[in-house]
Amino acid sequence: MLRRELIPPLLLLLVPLCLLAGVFIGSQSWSWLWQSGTGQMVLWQIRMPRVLLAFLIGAVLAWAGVLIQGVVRNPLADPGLIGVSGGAAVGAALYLALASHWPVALQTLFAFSGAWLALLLVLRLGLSGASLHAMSFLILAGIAVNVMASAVIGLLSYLASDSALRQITFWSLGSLSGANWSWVAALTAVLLAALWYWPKRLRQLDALLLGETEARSLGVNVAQLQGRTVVWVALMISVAVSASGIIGFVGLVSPHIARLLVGAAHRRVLPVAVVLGGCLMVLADAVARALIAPAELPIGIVTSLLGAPVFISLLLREKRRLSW
Amino acid sequence: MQLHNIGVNRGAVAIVDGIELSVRRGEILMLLGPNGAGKSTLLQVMAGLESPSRGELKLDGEQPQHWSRQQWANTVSFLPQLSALSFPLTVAEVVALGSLNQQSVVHERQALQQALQYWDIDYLAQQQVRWLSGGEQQRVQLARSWLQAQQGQLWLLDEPLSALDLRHQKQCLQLARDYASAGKAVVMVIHDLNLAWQCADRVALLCCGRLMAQGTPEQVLKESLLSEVFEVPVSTVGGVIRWR
Repeated sequence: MLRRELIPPLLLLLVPLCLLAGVFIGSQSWSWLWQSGTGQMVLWQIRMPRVLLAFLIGAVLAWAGVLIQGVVRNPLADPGLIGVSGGAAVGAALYLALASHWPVALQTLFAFSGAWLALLLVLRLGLSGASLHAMSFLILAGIAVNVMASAVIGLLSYLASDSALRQITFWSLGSLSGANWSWVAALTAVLLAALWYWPKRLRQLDALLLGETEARSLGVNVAQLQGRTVVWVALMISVAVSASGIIGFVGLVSPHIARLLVGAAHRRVLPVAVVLGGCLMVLADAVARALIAPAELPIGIVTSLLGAPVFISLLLREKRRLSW
Repeated sequence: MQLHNIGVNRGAVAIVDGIELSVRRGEILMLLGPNGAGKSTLLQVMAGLESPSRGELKLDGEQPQHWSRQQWANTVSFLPQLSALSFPLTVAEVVALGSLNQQSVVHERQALQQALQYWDIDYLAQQQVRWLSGGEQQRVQLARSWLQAQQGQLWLLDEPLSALDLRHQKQCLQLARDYASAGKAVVMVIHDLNLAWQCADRVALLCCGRLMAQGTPEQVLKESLLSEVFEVPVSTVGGVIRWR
């Protein structure tokens, strides 16, 4: 078994390796990327932002996963639970099916608005419950909104033209083909804001793991912490989904792997999960581009294909550890 | 702490009503009564976790109704009944949360060591709490709330002894006695009437949300009253409370 203290430095070593692998794996040989003029352009305008964006989106999804799992006190929670990604998908599908003759930038606006409308709806439904059970109401409301969203997307797919249908499918499975430096800047901003906001509140999240009553008696303003966490998760997910479509599994599996590696205290889980999420996405994107080059797979398929076996093997290890 | 005419409603139902009770420095007060009598609710009111529908609460002459959660936590430490933990937090991590509001890191570390030793869980410090036995988990939570209580004045415990073996019951009651002797106060909900007889300075007997009696154990724990409240014939012959 790996010693705990070795894990952070090993992970930090993993980041540049992953980024380099991400940059040089692809449909062109890397000497061409390095030497020719077109190659340089591809490198700086396409490959670099794409790899960085992959890392940032993975990191943000993992961060949101840590937050949502902590705040609902369930290690199986997924950031998609609160309905935000469903809302974003409806927004994007609306654009693709009905408004694709408008400028492409509007797709982002549609997705973003969809996400926040969904959040407002979920909060409106969820917070009307008694404060003690607010989180379970919220999740039920999130599930309802997700069901509604998939129904609307189904309807839109039925109405859409063939090419729009293909785009909707691609989008709902996630893709980084829209990567550019502005998205990298946007995701970096979100990550920096989170880095400023969260570190001093991580012990409050630890206290919340003990239970709501326990956390309140330890001096945590639980309702406020839950509300703000949900808004942060919504912010992170709406930006990530607007940039790349829905990418499953990273937000669920990264915190889980991190917890198996370093325990549950948030000050250790969060950095490990965030770095893991980023690396997982970069590798998944490299695989998505390389597997059927020059075409590419939707990255959501790859994250699930890669993530699920890792997840299963970790679960099996944990199960063995418990059975002796 | 003084409670005047405290009442709590949930919907149209009154969980507790018309409670007049005070807790004095230096004493251990034990709350007794059948299931559903309102003991836990009353404890939550005293911890500031449940705001009373009626009545008034006073703490050292102050009215704490508008205190922040942090002010409450710095004055009153409350241990609810044991609940399950689904995350792999270690014993040391859980106990350390007792000093969530404390500033000094050095002092925090010493206090943590002390808490682990006093509650006899230092050998479990790096174990995951969720895989421990019920009694061990209870000691972990007790150690956490004890650590929090060190900076406060009032320590509230909801059925602290329920999962503990004989030795640790004694240890727990001893630590509660030490706490009270330092000029602070302890209130605990407990079901073992004989332990209440033996260890409480005062007891309060609740039934159906009403305070039936309060006073020293000798004053309150009488055959007739206990038989009526618990709806089972009780004898107290030879200072041992048992059913007949």
